Amino acid sequence: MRGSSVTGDEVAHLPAGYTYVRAGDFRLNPQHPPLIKALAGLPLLVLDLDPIEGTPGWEQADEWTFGRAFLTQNRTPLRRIVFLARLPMVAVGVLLGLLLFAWAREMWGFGPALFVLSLYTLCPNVLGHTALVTTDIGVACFTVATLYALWRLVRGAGRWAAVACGLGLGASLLAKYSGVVTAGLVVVLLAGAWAAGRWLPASPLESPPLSARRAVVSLGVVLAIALLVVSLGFGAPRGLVNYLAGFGRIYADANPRWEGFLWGEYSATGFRYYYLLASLWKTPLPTLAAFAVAATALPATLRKRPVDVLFIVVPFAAFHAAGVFNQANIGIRHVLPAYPFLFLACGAAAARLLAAGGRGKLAVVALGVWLAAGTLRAHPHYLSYFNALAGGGPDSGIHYLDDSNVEWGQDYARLADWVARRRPSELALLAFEPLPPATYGLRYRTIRLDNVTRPKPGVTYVAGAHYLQRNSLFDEWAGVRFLWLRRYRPVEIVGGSLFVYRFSIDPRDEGSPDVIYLPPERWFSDSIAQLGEILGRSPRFALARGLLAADYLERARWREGEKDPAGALLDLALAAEVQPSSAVPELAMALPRLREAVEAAALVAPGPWCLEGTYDRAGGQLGPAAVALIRCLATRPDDLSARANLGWTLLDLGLVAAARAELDRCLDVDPTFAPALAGLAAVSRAGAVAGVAGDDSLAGATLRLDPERPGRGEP
Amino acid sequence: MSRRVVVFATLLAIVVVAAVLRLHRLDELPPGLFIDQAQYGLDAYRIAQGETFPVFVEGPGGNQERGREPLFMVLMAGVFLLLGPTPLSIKLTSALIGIATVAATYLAASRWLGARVGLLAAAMLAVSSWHVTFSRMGFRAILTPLWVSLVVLALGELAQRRTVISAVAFGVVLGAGFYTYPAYWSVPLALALVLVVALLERRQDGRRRQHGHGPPSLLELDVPGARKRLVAAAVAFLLTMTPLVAYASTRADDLLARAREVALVGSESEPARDESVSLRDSAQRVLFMLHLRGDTELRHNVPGRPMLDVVSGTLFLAGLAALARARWRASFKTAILALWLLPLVPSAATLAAPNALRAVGALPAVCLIAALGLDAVLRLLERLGDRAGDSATAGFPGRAGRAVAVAAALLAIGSAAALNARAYFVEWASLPGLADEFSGDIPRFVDYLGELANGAEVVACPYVYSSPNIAFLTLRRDPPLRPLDSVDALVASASDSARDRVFVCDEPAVNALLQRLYPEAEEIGRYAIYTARTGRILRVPAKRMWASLPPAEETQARYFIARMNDSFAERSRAW
Repeated sequence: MRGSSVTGDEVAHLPAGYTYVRAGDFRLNPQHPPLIKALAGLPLLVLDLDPIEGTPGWEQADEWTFGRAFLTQNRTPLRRIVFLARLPMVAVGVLLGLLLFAWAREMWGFGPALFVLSLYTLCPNVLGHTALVTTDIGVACFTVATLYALWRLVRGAGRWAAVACGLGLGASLLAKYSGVVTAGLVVVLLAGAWAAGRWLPASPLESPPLSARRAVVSLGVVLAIALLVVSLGFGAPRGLVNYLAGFGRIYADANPRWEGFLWGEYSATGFRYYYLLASLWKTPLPTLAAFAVAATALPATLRKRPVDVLFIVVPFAAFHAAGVFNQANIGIRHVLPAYPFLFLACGAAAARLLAAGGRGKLAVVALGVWLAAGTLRAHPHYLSYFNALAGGGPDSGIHYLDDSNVEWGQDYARLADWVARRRPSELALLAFEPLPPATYGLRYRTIRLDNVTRPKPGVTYVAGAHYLQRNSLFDEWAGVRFLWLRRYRPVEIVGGSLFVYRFSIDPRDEGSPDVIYLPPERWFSDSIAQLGEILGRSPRFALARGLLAADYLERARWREGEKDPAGALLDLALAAEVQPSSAVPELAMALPRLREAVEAAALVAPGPWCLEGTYDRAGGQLGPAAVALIRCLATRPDDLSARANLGWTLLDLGLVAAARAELDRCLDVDPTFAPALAGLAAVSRAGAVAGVAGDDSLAGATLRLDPERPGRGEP
Repeated sequence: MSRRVVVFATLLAIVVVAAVLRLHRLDELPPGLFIDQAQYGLDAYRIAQGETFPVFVEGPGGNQERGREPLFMVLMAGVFLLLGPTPLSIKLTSALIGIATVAATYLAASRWLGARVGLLAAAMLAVSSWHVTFSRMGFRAILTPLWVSLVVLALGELAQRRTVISAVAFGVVLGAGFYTYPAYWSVPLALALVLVVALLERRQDGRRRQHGHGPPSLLELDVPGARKRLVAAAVAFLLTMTPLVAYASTRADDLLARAREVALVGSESEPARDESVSLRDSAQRVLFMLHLRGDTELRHNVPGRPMLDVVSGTLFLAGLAALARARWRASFKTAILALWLLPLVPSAATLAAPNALRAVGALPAVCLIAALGLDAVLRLLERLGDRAGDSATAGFPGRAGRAVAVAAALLAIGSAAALNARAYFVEWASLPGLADEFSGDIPRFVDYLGELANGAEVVACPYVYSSPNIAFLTLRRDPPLRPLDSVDALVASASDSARDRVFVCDEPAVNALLQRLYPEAEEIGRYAIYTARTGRILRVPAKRMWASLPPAEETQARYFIARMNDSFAERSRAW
């Protein structure tokens, strides 16, 4: 619990809860009922905290601004505030465990109850959310309290059961607005218990049937107490009005541009089967196995104890049915209240197995050991737990689910510890930030587009799982995708959600586990391919254009160093085509030097360069045409057509002076050579447009601005 | 009316429904002519012309990397002989196979589980939008469900009749399946699995004969004549396979080339295309394709729509429960489950799962399981109906029960039919981009070209000439389309010098060459197909054609043409 940094909703819930108990003011975060937040705020009363008044966001009742300021600028250290606020959540979790054990013991007996308790206490989803100031485990706890008391009530318990049920329901409604499902369950289960008693044959295992009168009276008492609790909890005498007003704001935090993610797909309207699959991938396999056994055991139980089955199946189905219509596909925590009933159902499996003798007992023990081993393996990264169906860890799990299923901001403190140990020379970070990462002492710069396409060697990149998965990493530039997830395996995962990447283009690092080795050719070509694709979709994306030109220029330098002058020249030409203003000067400067090297190489390895150059030129491939024609002229310096072609090509690349030189040489040999004369005319026009005839750098820039410029045609 | 008449009339009605769903608006839906359909058409045309009768059809342009099993093309050649080589004939071939599959599924299911389940299974298949889609598509994969049903039917015949002829028929059908589609390989594997389970069952003497549905009679070696039938089936199977085995012995790589190309798990020499997709992930996608998220490929499905409608999907789950509760032998249950699950393997083990095309072999078993579910529901309703009407006698449904069951069956299948027909003819048919997916622009381009080049000789660059769609649609053009593959195509030919020449090319360098060679050529049109590059259509009057090119121009032209064709071949390999 100490290791987890502040997660998404805690930024608002925790400080709001403190204001409830300190100032009795409920203005902050009305989109969630106050009980759980107030519980979290209680231990903070013993701390010496800054006054609420004067904290940014307080006057405007902006809980997010207030929350960030309260947590990061307080005189009491953040870790202490968070630790104390989370303690009541642990108490709620323990209470839920105890209730579940008591209920299972009454329903299935001691052995199965112990099994149910172990499923609960070792469930990573429960462990993950019980340590956070959020409302999900609270509503789960009070739902179980409500329905356990109701179960006892329909089995003939006294009036105190009705009182407990009413208090539990009130607490559920005060914990989270999804507590209305619990209220509906009370009505449905009472009706179901009455109907079962009336129409199904009496079973010796169940209590006398519930009479209609007792059902109606019980319902009245339960609802009356619950309404009283809600009314008091929301500030009598306008408690119910406040409750309804808050209920109307439950989507206040919803982002209208949000898209749910499931298994590689995004949807603005969510996925109907999101929570079904999320449960399949995030529930430990031993629990699912026990549930499968329970599914075969429950039909037989239904005949003997219909009310018990009703109290397990209906709440489980109801919370999942609510999930079907929940478009906010942001985490399994929304169906956390269904889990206790899943565990209760597994009690039927344990009862059946334990009754089956030695092998059955062994199976129960094996399931428990399997579960414990899996949970220990996941410790302490419970939020990002995935079972083997989803690969068994966050590295594969993020292909299935995102958001609070994997990354909710829980690992910044662990990252700070990791940085302190590893001391990376340069840290670049991009992740979900409930609080500024600097709060945890992290010094970093943000990952940018150029890092995404061509990561820099030596820099340690840390990317949040959620951000890695999302398309919206750079959502101001539509279509930019963070392809690292598909291309590279992280060298390390900090916590369960922060993926560490470190790259090297040094061949000595090939095979090293600490870095991702990229051969330089791939390092450049991956980036060029990605930027080319982006520009294909968004040709006006100036930053991508600049980065692509820079990639070509850098690869040209690298290729020259690798004794590949033709490749270098080609890259410079491509850079000049992409962004003349930055690349033409460099091309102009490098041309004589590279040309000499290309000519020397061509003399060694002659080829059909003249034809190739003519073909490329005719096809509009300026860079390849220039290289081929230079090679051609190395072996056939008297080929006037090729030289004129080269002149035209250099002119199209923006190299006016170089083009003029080639065309002049043609005319030196044949003063009437028409293509050269036409070329020189085009050179003059280009120079006039540029304003400074023969200045390559300026001419190149200006030439590109005029798509209808003369001289583009065939020589 | 006797029971046989009722069954026959019902089957006829089901086949009619199947035919309506598979033939209605077949000329326009799916639209256009997709490249694979056209390639099948070209192969079938060659077969129909008697040019070849292949054991294994080579890929486009003789490229063996994408070879295909020939049976579908052979059947298509038959349709061509009757109706001519048209896009409709291509789709009609698969539609007829689809209709036959419905009937074969009835025959196969009824052999093992009685006429009622057989009719229900056939009805579920008849109205399945999954099967309707591929029945109308003109792809050879549609043979897989037919062959699954035929194999099960042949096995049933063998189990019941126990004659040498039925054994030979089984061997032939089993072997002929290898000439249909690679996904068929899962069927013999399923049978092998059943064989293993049945052998294990044999060890449990005494219990083996207690239940109604037994393993194939081939296994009952103690029955007189069993060994003879086993040998007959094996010989027939091997003889049927001989041509393919002979072919594979020289070109084994061809048979598995496409499978390797799309495989999820690569080898060191041939890594998989996308390492981030795991087999586990892919298998889950395939398992959930019936109910949660189906094929996302627009050609195959309304993207993401579950492959079963809500009625069939629910009945399928009910069928699984019924199968689990049924007191049948493990080998029999294994057979049904294996015929569902193993045909899914080709989709699970390849990229872009779930792929409804590669998994289409699972359809007969899926429909059979849904039929089992419907059958179980109908039995329950019969009991309830009889209890209400008090008309049951000695375990048989009475009139009331039967009426309730018939009404419920009609309601279930009718609603499934309505949902599936809507999914195909309304939702899928109106999807934006559907025409593009089926290269809807190609027939328009061919018409456009035909009008422009009326009577002239058309010479095309590789993007046009090598397009199977264009090649198929211009099969009967006079004079035929000619490739720009040599300098001869640029000069007047002695044999046909009176015709104008129309050049169709999207290679800028070659177009520049053409304009230099024929400055007076008229640009009569432009086009953009397949690539973003704009192609030009140039018409050169016959009297202006060079008789032969000057040497310098000829050298350049030869280089340009070779360079263009090399570049095209390189890009084709990259695809």
